[in-house]
Amino acid sequence: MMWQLGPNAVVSASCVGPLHRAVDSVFENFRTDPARDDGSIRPLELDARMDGSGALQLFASGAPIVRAESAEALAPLLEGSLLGYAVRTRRDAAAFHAGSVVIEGRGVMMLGPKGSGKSTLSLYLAKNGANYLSDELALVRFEDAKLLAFPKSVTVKQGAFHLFPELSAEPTHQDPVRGPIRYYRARSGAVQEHPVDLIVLPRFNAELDAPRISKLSPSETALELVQQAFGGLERGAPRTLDLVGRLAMVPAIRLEFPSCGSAEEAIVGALREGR
Amino acid sequence: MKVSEELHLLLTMLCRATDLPGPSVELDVRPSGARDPWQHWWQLVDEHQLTAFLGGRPDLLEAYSVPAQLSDALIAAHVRGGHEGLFRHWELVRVCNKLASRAPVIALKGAAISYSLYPLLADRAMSDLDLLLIDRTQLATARVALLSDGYRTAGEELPEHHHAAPLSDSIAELTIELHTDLTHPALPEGALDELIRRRVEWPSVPGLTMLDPIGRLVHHAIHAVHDPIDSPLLRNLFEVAWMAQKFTLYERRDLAAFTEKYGLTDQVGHALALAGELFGAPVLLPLPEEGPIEYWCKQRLEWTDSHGDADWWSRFRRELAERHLKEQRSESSVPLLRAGAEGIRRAASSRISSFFSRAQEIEPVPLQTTPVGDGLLAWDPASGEVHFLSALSAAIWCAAEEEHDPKKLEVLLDADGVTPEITRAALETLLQSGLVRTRERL
Repeated sequence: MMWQLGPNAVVSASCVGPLHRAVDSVFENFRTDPARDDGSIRPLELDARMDGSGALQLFASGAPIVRAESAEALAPLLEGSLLGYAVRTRRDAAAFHAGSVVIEGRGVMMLGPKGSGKSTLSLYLAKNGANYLSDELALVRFEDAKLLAFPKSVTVKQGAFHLFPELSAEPTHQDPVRGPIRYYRARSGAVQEHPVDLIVLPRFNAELDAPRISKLSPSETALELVQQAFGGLERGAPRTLDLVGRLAMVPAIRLEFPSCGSAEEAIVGALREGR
Repeated sequence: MKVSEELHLLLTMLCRATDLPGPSVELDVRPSGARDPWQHWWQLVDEHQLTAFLGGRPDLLEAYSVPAQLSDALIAAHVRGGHEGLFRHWELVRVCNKLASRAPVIALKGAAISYSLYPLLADRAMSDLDLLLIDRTQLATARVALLSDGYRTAGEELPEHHHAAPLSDSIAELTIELHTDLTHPALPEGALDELIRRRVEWPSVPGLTMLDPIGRLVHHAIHAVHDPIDSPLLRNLFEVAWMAQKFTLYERRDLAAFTEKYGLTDQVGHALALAGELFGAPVLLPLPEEGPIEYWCKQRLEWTDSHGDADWWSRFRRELAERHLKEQRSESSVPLLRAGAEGIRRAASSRISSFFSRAQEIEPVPLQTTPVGDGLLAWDPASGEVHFLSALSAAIWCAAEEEHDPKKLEVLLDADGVTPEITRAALETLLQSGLVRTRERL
């Protein structure tokens, strides 16, 4: 089986064993037909073998990479590794720690560090009619500053399991860093690229009664973008710097929210205000 | 050698993980006096780049009752090592295959050791790939091929050095160093040719070639102690110990014969002797006379191991590691600094700038910039720091490009309505932020 993660990034794995299921649980939307492989890109060949202790060793193109204590730990390990592989072979776009969706024809980039709630919010919005682009890795093309879809399955951490009861039938994966997680196989939307119309810095805060919104100045937005850029400004220099300069002029808000529903209302309100 | 209890514990753990005999009983083990011994232990692990290795051994961490917070950080480092290792492997094989027909390369140092010594690529962090070519013509060919492939020169070319200026690909976030020799100064005549002839293909990875076990140990032993101050010395010596421990009887004889033939016995022996003392590894070669290498290596370990009176360098590294641990961020996080209007106001109320009295000129530091609104986003590629300059500080920074005399700059900007006090304060902030620098008046 094969998955195309980018213009220069193809992954292959045998259909036998737990490996292809693990890749599929994260990257199902990237599946490609092996028959269409023209041989121009050498795929990263994945393999998983049981070692003496019953753990799985992940191999990539012949080399032992890392050990997964169980089949449940395989998908999160692959998620991180293959995200890195996809980003580091991607020459046409900057990468940010951000979720991204298109709501009412407007592109929203939700920028923030781990734990800010951007994945959960991306999923909530996608389930409520937004066009899903990505949950934690936003690719923005250097050339025209457009968001590009990277529709991997949305990672839902244990704290948000209750928000998505339909996931209760899905397997729980053991991430050695993030703890128990589940994957929501969000459908890739019809829109695959879109300009950024609003930048949101989400922060979940259960103690609030209502969302708290504050507008960001271009300088604040610029510094947030730099902090959340993969590889900082060094990656793709000087194009990333130019891109940050362009994106910093997009309307941006800091949004503390007590629930996804209230965040959605605030985002839609900000989009309408910006029209 | 004096070692703290925490360093001794770390040595013991590394030995247990690899079946090395253990630290010498002659080590002078003392309490470090650290308020939090585990924090001190962590600093040693981090500074010597052993986080990924230990993080891959949760049973070992449990056996030695490493606190949960540190265990979690180590395991996370191992997982990140896996992410990094997967891509690095893919890129190494891609580069090896790309160059195979024109300028075949031999993987050196970490690029070879991570495959041949460690069970998993996730076990060893690595900042760059070192590749050996047989001569300068092939190096030039490889260089052209990599430059056409997205790599860019990153650093200065040193004449007659054993490797060319590093090549860096900012998208792949990898640096490659192309070597034509293993050491500087060069190995004795004939030694390199013999090591190249003896190179081996790594069976499980098509296209990957490396030195044979003798060559790998010779190179790593010399490299391990080459820069005792600014290297992960303990990890390097640990690797030398582990390699020596794995040597067969035949390989031990072969190593002795090779080093004697080329007069390398002492050069290789320094690291082996230290590895023997710290990890109980077989020394394999006659003990060299103790000299400056041993002195500096022991100084380095004692500096970084003494909690109370460390020099500025190790204090700095220690503070950095502590901060990173607290903030749960990686070494590569971008430091941020805002030198905008607020900074200028603060500086206006502070001391008068010292450079005025010394009759020095100023000049802006070269930065990459992009306008954001009426301000300027500036990036210093040399330091990796990012600055946001307000309209006022941006104007002053730009004006300093043309006018290097601070007094004349004040007059110039005064005409635009910026008071000399504000200009002086802004220059002080820019100077403190490293965005302008002083130079002697020409």
